[in-house]
Amino acid sequence: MKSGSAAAGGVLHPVLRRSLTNAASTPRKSSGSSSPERGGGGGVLIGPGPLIRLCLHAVACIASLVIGFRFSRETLLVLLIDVGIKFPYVEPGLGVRDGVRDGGGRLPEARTKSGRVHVGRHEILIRPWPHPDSAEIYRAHALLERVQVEQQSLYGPKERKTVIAITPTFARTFQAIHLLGVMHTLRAAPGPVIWIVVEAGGRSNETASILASSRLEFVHLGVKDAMPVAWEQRRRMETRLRIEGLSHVRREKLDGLILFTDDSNVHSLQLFDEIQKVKWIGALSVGLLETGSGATETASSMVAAASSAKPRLPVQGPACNETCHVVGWHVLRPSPVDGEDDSSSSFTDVAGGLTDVATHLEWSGFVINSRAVWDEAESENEEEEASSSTMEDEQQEEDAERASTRRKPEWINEWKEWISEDSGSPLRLAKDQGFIEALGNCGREVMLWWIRVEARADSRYPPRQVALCPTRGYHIYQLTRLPHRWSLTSPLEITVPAQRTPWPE
Amino acid sequence: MGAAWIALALGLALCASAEQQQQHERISGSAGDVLEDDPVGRLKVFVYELPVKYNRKVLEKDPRCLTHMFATEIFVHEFLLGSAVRTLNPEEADWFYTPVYTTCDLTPNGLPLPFKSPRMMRSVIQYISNQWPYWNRTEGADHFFVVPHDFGACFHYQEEKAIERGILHLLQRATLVQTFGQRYHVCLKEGSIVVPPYCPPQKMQAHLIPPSIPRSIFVYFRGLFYDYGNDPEGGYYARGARAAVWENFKDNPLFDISTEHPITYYEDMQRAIFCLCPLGWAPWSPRLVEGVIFGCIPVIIADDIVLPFADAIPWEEIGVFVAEKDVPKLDTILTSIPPEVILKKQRLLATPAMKQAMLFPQPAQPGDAFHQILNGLARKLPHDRRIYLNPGEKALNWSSGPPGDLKPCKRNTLDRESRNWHQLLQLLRHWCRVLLF
Repeated sequence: MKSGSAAAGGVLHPVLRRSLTNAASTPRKSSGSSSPERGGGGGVLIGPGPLIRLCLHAVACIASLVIGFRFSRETLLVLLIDVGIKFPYVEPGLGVRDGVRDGGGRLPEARTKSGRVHVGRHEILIRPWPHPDSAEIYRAHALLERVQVEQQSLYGPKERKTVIAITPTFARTFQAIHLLGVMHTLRAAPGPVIWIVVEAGGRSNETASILASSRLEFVHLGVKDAMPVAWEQRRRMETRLRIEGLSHVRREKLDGLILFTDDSNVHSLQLFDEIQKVKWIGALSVGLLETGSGATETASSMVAAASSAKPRLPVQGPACNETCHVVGWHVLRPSPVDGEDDSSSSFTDVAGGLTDVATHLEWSGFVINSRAVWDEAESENEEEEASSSTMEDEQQEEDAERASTRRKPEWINEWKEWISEDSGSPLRLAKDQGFIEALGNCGREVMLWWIRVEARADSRYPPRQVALCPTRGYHIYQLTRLPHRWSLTSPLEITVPAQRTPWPE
Repeated sequence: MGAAWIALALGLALCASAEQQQQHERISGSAGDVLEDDPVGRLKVFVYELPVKYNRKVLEKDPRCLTHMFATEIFVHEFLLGSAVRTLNPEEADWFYTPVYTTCDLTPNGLPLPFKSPRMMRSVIQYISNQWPYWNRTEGADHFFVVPHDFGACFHYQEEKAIERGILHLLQRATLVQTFGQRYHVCLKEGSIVVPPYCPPQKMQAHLIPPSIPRSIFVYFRGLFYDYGNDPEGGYYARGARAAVWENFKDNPLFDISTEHPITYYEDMQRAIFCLCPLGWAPWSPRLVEGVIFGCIPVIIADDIVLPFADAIPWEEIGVFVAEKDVPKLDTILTSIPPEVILKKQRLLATPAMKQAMLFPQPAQPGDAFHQILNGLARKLPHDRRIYLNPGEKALNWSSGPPGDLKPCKRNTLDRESRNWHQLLQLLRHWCRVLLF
């Protein structure tokens, strides 16, 4: 535009013209303007050719302003009417070749050496049915699986011990979500998995039906007492359920790594690779996702928290020194009842303060080699039998090596000493805490998250549920046959947003 | 960071020796097994001492030049200054390097403007031909220049204009080290060395994830499909190839393609099997380098492209080439690749030599892109006797080229007269502001 007006004036001061052309050329890749830098000749009259071009350009610009769309390229269209310009989307039937819509004419070829590629407008090729094909998707998934298997064999742990997952559970509204979550995690986990589900209140049909559909190797145990209502008692009941699972491992002599997968926890798949490094007892960092605290926060405090530097995830787990040995524990007492987070992140050292720390550490943050809970005497008998049958030296050396990995080290407590406490803790399994291995890059990576979320007291399910309304301070909880499938056959009367999920439900 | 790469290489070597399975394979291109060659001792490079207006002043004016993808020219200069192949005696030099930063005139958005580059280059060549006799000896046949811009020494970002201009006439006999490579194209000279664009190695190193994380994305791409600003009608940008990818595969679950650039871009590439590298306004892109570093098989959709170090790296075995007309069949092509071929390509990509050859680390490490450039230069030695001209013989026409190029390159961006005008305008603007506010 500016060079056009300059041309209209005829001769211009060379400097002004140059600065104008410089200014005109700054918008990057202005495909409409026709090389205004050409107009800036060296301080002499512009020749007639470029002058006419500039005039035409000025006319085109003014015309575009009047008409409302860019005029310059369309002029080319008019001038070169013999070349058929194809628009990007061509109607079918116009020269379909190989199932692909293709067009004929192109803009005149720019000066290139011989080659297939030229500059100018090209057609956007779209096939007649541009949607995914299920056979191809199947093949792609087969390729993905093959690549992942290769990755596992190259970079994953060479031998995988069986993962023995112990899950305490009980039948309630949200049981299906939580249990199915754990089920899918374990199905996706590589290597063999044994799932021990210990249920409070006896073995219920709901849990049994979920487990039956899981296609995992599972063990369904039941403890007759129902899950209590108060928070502290719940924790103790869960511990009791876990100990029940551990006694099963001990009785059946299951070999592998014991992982405490609580049903509402969230696990990442990296966890299953990481725990294969455990020799005897490993400690993980557990992120604590609190739900109760969210309820007590007002909107303003939440906004304030969001605007502060970074939201901090409370993490419970081992504290390491430079040589990656466990020297203490980050302990937070999670209590979703009142939402107050007792952030007593005390660095208790190994020697003292055991009682306080041990009761508050989550079971899910520990991974135990199942041999640690076996009966010592029986396993020794087995080894003697095994060693007496082989006579060669090499085999004896191998046996000795294997025996050292199999035999429980001295720093591990006996079963009876460990479990005799009222509230057991995995920390007490080790006499000397220094032998506990810290996983996940010395506790710096969080690979599982603890959360306790349950349904509202007055959450209703049509048509079969019977629930008592809660009285203040106490949440009396009674359930009759709850459907484990979520189906809403009639429209809901009132939907109330869940502002808090009080504990317990 | 260098130690991390060497440790990685050592670790992989140990693993390979420990197991039967091969984790990576040796790369050997048409020039042989040359990625690990050491150029020291095979050639000598003399670096011209230029006035600072050609390099340092330009960089001081805009330090963004150090991080954008055209920073190759600056880092090659730094590397050669401290390298063992440098010689201070020009008589024994095989190659002559001219450190001029032609791609450092940036818009506020950070895109380089090539309008002054031809004049800068002419001015530099005039300077070196006046100060030293080595240019006139061969008219530049044993000189090399780094021109990493979109279309190399054609010095324009628009392809039509670049083709019209052609390679700067004075660089006709010199060797060009450029990122642009397309067969049968005016802007790729015979004998040029094609290099990858600059990608900051520390930034990529910071986003590495453990290789055991399973690759769960089939095809990954993040970038523009339509460039509405510069190509509103469609069909010009990427020769319609990117738009075809979008239109054909936008609802395909195997294709994770979008214009949104996430924070986890590098991590996502490491979770993908194939990464699309379609052409844009120019056929090359940093996606190729990123794909190689992160082990994602590059799917190159650019007809006739010449990839970096093509004589040393067998790109056919490493990447998948798809013709632009075959883009609608891309899903069929990619899903019908046999798994063994995919695994072999991944093994080749995992070679540390391959990853090193794509990077420009500071300080330089053996096997990196700097050394590959030197290897390429060394492979062109010894020079043909015929490049040496007889005294008085001229091969270049110094007055050819568009008239805009023939203007001399002055000390400042504006010459004296326009500087006065500029100052006047500034003064006027200042007084208006004072009077009005």
